[in-house]
Amino acid sequence: MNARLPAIASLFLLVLASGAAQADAVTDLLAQYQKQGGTNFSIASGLAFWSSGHIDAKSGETRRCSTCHSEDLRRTGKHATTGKLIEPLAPSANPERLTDVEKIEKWLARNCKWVLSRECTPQEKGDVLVMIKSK
Amino acid sequence: MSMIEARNRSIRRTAAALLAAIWALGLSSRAGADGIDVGPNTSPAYVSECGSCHFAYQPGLMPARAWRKVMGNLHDHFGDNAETNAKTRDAILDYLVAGAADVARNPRSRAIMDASTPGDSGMRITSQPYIAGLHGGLLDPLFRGYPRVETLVNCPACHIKATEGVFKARRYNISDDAFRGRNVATGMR
Repeated sequence: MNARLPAIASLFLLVLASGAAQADAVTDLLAQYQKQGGTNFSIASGLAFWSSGHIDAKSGETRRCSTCHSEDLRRTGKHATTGKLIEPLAPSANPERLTDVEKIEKWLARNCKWVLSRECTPQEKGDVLVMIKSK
Repeated sequence: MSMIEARNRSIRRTAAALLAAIWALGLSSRAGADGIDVGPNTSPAYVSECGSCHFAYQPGLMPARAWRKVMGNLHDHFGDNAETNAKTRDAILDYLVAGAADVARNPRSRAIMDASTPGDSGMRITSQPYIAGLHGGLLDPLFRGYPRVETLVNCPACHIKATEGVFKARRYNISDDAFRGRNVATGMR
């Protein structure tokens, strides 16, 4: 019970610090990831995760989150295969981001499998969410 | 005199408005599912789910069997993961099958069906025999080398009305020398 207090406090601060819808979606998800074993989500870990490369066994290519979304989350990305432009992920550049729990979950599931060839852990998802939110 | 002129002018204006309305009607019906081309998408779910990564190819561009195969392989969607929840996937499959080239009555879809063979299980738009045939070497960047095709999947790069489901209008005349050496996706040399 006591161990949960700092987490609950930090979630409360998150709510205060940002727009209502965005905070709701991210707060809900972080609480969920925490229940699944995630802890101390950090922007630094999220950033490291964002740029780390993973070799795809089938194609042999190195894939990163930034392959499609670019290193700068405030910029427009580009789909690696189709070339379709991807709106910026940073809420500061695109306020619609991080407002829809279902959408966040869907894209994390899809894109983790593309980059890592597996689902992301609750820790990885939490880290990357707080990182995106900070942008 | 002036009253007659005014009346004539108003008659002319009414006639012009009527003609414009008839012309507009003709245009909209031609672009429709039973018009000369496949027509625009009518499912917002399809456009948002599939169109977020690529051009939302209209259902009438492939037979139902191809759409079924695509929608049954979303975990490996041409090398990408495109999974969505079962409810959304089923709704999209229903939309695609209901408007697939087998059932769509427009001449474009019928030509796509005529060119395909029943056993053909190709699930790429660009490998449908009618579409591949019309584009010749254009769709294969290795065939001639020009134009430099950055991606084969971006119909609107050349077909300026592709989003409306009208593929007749094109940005480039393929026989035009100026077309050679251009990047199809961007229009830049």
